[in-house]
Amino acid sequence: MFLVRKLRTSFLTLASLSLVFAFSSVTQADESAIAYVKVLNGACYVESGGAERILQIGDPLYKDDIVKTRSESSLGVSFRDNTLVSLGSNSSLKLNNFEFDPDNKKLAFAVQLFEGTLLYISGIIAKLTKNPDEDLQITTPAGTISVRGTKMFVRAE
Amino acid sequence: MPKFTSKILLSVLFLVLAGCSAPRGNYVILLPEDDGSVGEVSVRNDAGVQTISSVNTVVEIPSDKAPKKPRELSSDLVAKLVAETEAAQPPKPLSFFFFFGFDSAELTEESNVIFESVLAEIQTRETVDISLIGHTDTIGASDYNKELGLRRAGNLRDKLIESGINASSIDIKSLGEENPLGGDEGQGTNAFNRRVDMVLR
Repeated sequence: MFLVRKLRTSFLTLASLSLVFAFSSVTQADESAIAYVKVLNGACYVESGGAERILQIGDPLYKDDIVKTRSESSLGVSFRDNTLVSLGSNSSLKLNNFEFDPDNKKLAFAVQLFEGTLLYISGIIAKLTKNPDEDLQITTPAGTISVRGTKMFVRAE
Repeated sequence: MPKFTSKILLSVLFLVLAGCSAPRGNYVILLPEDDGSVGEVSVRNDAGVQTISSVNTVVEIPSDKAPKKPRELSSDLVAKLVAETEAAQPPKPLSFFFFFGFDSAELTEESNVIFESVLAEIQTRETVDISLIGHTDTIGASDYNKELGLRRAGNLRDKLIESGINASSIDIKSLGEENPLGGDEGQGTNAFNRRVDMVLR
């Protein structure tokens, strides 16, 4: 009797645990992803946490990632605030900072173009921010660009 | 007289060359947005700052001097410079509204029709990620409404997952009654606040 009850309890625990797991695996969006790869031509890589791997369409990108394109390669990425960024060949871009939490007034977009070309179309952060000079920065080796809602092309070497 | 003509010719030549010479080193070019509007860009380093607000204008940034004076480039040259990079731009993000009945988390008939058109749009894209934000009218307790907004967004997410969308690329939240459309205090009880906003990227 005791055993049966114990068995039943553990079965119930197991059942509810697996339910929790099933639930979390279904509902957990990748909260920390700040952008996704939408377009990819040729050979593109990401350096993430010290390791480099080949990028594929649909891959999530995270803060501090460095995305790279080889020759005759290009990459298109959309951020969670609808900012669109594409890179031409032989480019290298670090995703320095990204915060998109309008409800708590947290907005930040900062990327660093080490080399190559970048085409930028602003998203919601550029529309909402009151301090574009601080919240919205694209850095090149020679200077920093701050953006007030626009489309632009940047080249760095 | 010939001297005068040659002066004009020289300055014309100079202008043409200025528009034609490709920018070098680090630079930024301001482009028109798809709706024709033009934004503004500032470029700064330790030595100075330049601001541009007209189309096809470039600022070159020398590594040890202030950003150069802006100059306009020919649209042909700009098109050539940006071609490869622009061709890799992601598809435009799209927004959709899904409406619900009073105190209901079930999609209305109209919203089911919109859902079908969203699925059709998704088919045209190689990969998608989706944000869903649930909203409610201002009738009832705000805690309850926050939860109702989340159930609305959750039901829409479940429909997307059933249609084969990867759960990890759908992000949901609820603003409850906090964000009525139009922002007007008196509009909060309107049916159009019983909705989920979707952004498809």
